Amino acid sequence: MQCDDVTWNILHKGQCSYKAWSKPKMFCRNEMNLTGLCNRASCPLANSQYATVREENGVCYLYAKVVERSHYPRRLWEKTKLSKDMNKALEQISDQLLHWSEYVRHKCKARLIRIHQYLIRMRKMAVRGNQKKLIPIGRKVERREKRREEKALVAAKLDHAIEKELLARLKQGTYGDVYNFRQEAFEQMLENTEKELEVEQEVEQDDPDTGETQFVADFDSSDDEEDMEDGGGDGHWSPDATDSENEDDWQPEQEEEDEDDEDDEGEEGDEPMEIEEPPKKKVKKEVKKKKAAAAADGKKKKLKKRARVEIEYEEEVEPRQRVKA
Amino acid sequence: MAPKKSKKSKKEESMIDFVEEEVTGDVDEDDFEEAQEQEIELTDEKLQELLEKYEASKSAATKTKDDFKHLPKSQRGKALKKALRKDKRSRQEERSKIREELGESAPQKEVPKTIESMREYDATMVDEQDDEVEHDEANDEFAPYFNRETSPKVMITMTPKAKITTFKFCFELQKCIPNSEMFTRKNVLLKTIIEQAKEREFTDLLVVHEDRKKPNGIIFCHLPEGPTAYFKINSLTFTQDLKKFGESTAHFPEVILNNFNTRLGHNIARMLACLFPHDPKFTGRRVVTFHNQRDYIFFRHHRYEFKKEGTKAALLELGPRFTLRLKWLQKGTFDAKWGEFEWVLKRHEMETSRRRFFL
Repeated sequence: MQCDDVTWNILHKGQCSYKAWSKPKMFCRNEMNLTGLCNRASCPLANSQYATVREENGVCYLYAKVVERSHYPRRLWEKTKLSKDMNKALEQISDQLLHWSEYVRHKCKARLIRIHQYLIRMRKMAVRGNQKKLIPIGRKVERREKRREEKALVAAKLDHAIEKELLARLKQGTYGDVYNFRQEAFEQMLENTEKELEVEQEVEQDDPDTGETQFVADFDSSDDEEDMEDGGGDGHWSPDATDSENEDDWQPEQEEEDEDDEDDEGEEGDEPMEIEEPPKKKVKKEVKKKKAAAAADGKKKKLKKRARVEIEYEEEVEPRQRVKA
Repeated sequence: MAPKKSKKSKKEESMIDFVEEEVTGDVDEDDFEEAQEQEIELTDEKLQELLEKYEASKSAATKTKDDFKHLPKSQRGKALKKALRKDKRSRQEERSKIREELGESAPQKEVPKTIESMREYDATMVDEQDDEVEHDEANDEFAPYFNRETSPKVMITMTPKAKITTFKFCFELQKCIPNSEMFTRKNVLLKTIIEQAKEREFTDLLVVHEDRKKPNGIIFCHLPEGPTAYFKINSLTFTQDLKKFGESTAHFPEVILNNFNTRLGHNIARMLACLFPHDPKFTGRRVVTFHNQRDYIFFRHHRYEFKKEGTKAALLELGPRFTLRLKWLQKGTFDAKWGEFEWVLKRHEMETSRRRFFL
């Protein structure tokens, strides 16, 4: 009844549902296979005398089938529980398969050892506790989440939100002294405007003098009055008073500027006047003399004198020389 | 008016001094009301007319699909859409004109219904000045940080045998978070890592998970006993891939935590805040943002600059950008099996509506 060669020929050359083609060797998917290879010696279908070792829930069993029971498919396999101790189990196998072929006996033992190895590794992994759990990723869920995230990102208006928060912090004063946009800047502005106001007032004070200079036609007649005024002015600019370093910085600068401007205007204005009124030349000459005399004094004085000189009233004032003398 | 009067009568009983003032106030109000009534009476008919017009222009679309029967079928839809859009715009203009005419008595402009404004009510929404919450927060695991007893020290690590993108991500994280150290995992168990980190006085542990060679999740464990959270990482963009980016500096950054409103959200926000040291260096002008919108936490890293006398802030992006989504929160340090989960995102139970959010 059992014609192993015929079976093998059919299976090997024809169809076998357990065959698994993969290079370089052909494998067998039958779970009773001893080695997992597809060949004549380890084919569980084409051998009527066959044995294998299997593990079920951590316990090893030796399965053996002989030709005498081949007509009882239900009782075909003889199942023997193997000891947990591997050495004992090996002995059991060699006892059970005493007169079997060397190939089957050897392969069964090899299989037993292999099973024990992987059982040990399983136990170790379980004890170590770093098992990974694989979780399926729902493709649809993933897609939906991504879509919602995009929409949320648009709704968030991130840059705007961040900017708003930062500005709120700045207003709150979180940054302390790092920035001085608000209050300090405002205070500075206040101070500046105050200064400007003062400057303007003083400029206004200067203005009437300049205005007087422009009324050139009146010069000769008004000389006396102006002398009087300038006499007071000279008192101001007497050497002690002229060193105006102690005064605010902005004042001298502006005055100097103003005076320079006045210089030009004065000189330009003067020339036509001279033609009309000879006495003015004299005045100028006198002034030059004075200048020479005053050259010995400090430069500051010079500057200021010069300025006054060009206003012309001062220059005419003789008493100044007297004062100095 | 009736309830007002009753209130006033009570006040009169209690404080006689103020009675006169109140009475005068009442008189003023009455005058004002009368004046208003007069105005309304004057324009009453016109007003009604305008209001009706306004309502009409709100609802009725003047075009229907029957207007486009002359077109071939394939073009009708497009044409209708275009016409409707035009129609809508014209009606808007009409309404704005009516609004101008009406002046003060114009009906209120409708607030657009967004997902945020229509959010479903959450019982754990935190108000300011909630004593219970304040007490809880004063005694939770992050309290030592906020009381300035501990300064943050962060350990960053990743899955065993992490690939290059994950390393890159960890480096970027390290750049963002001052006082952080990076370690390769080397197949050490997470629980032993936690023990070691505790010994070395780390205050936080970040573990980056990867899938298909890309970081896809991050475990955030506050030490020594704090909660553990697992976030999913979405849409990660590295600094180099940004269109315009700047170089990060070593200054301590500021942290912006936006929109964390519920109790859970507060916890998460506190947790994230714990990563960064106290006393940011404002001169560095670095800012790290965790912005929560619809349960997605957007991470951004910027350098800012105030412009136009502090009325505007210009931003330059520095770090990576990514999105976090909370998957679970656990009490105590990481313990996948026996840990007590405070909150777990369960899709079928919790995602019942798009307007329901948890953070």
